[in-house]
Amino acid sequence: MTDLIKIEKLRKNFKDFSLTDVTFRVPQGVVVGFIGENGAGKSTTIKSILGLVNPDGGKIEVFGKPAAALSREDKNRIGAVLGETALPENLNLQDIDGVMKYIFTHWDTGKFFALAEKFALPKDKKVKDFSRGMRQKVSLAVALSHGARLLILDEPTSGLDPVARDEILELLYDFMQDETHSILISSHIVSDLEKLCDYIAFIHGGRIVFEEEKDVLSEKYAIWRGTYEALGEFEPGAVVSYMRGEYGTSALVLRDKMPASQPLEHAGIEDIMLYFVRGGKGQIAEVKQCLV
Amino acid sequence: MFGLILKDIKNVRGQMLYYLVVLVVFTVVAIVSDNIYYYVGAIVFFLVALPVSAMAYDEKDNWDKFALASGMSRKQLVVARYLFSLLFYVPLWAISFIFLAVPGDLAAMETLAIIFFYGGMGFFTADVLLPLVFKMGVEKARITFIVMIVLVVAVGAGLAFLFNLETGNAVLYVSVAVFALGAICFPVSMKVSENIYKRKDF
Repeated sequence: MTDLIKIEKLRKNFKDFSLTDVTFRVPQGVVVGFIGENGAGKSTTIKSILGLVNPDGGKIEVFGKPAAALSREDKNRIGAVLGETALPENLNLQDIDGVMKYIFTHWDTGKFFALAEKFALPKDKKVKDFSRGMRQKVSLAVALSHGARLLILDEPTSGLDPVARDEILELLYDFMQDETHSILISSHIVSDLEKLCDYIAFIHGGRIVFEEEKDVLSEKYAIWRGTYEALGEFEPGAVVSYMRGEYGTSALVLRDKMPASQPLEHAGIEDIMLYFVRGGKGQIAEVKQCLV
Repeated sequence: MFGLILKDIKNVRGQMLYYLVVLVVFTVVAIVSDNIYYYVGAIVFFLVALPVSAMAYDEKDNWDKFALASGMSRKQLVVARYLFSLLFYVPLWAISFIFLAVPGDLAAMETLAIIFFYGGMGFFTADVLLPLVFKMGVEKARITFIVMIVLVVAVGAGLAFLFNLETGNAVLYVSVAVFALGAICFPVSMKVSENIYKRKDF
């Protein structure tokens, strides 16, 4: 399968934070959800792909070319939504259309205004007078109106109500009807990612913890609940991480290493992320993590 | 590139109307008082105020992130801002030669020297200020902007004093030299800004 994005051992050092050997890929025809807590390195990774930060090491390829060597035409094939709105807020939609015609070689005015109408965005009102949700919709409308083959979306649904989020997810499903398209999407709203994504890449402390197929994750991991003492009875490596609380102990476990007799619960992406991240940090619950 | 400049024009068009009114007032005052300093001083101010305003909007809107992610190069973003500053300055400066045709005290060698001198001062202001804005951002560079404007006024006062001492062609030659130097430094300043901007992380 062709990779639209391929990142190998990406490094970026800041004063108080580093990305370390970040490696993952976004194959063609696939939606990759990029998860991690605030400050884990999601935005820095996305900015590195888009050429907004200069990496200190590693390799980033987009459409099979080094990211730094992408032409304007190549970059025009990337639709980006960058967290906060990154459009001229003093302009209305008609102005934005007028400007984007000269920014993107394949700008589609008809599609832009069709999306604006779908999202009920007024054409004559300045973007600065829009609500946060409406601004996000403008950003997405722009990203989808210039013939992008790859969408890179940093928190595109943040600040949106469930109905608006659903509308956006629907648009992203439509985008993925073309098998040559791909999406890399980061979001804190894990339920959105669970609906949309084929793969999940999880970053923590500037390092990729895993990149797995979403369905494999739910086959691989499960939640076990019981007593702290009972944890010791399982085979080594079965317990990925556990939390000890007032009313018992729960653990993220590997299904295939657990005895068949043990009742296990489905582990959602949010559960998996939580168990990996909270190790050793809990205040209410005593948390201990023993990574496999 | 055109899209970047068009976006700047659309962004600051509200202010441009305000500046136009100010410019008309200053032009009238310059003609009535036979004192071109009002006009040339105003256009030097506009030369930097307009691009700095446009850059302030861009900073607030995170526009550079979007533009870079969309295929604009860092060089294009820098060059577009320099061109945007010239877009209004050059025509307004060229218009200042019309003052030479106004009957009265303005139709003098002194007016010609002031036009060239302030033309150069305008370039120098942009040459110094724009790299600083690229380096520090609009807010931090604002102090420099104010200092530069005060400096231009002070140098202008010095020039007026020179005219009282020296009535020959020497002041005109100096003024043309200041203009030429300011204009030559413009692409140098742009190159410095490009180098600053190349290393910037967003």
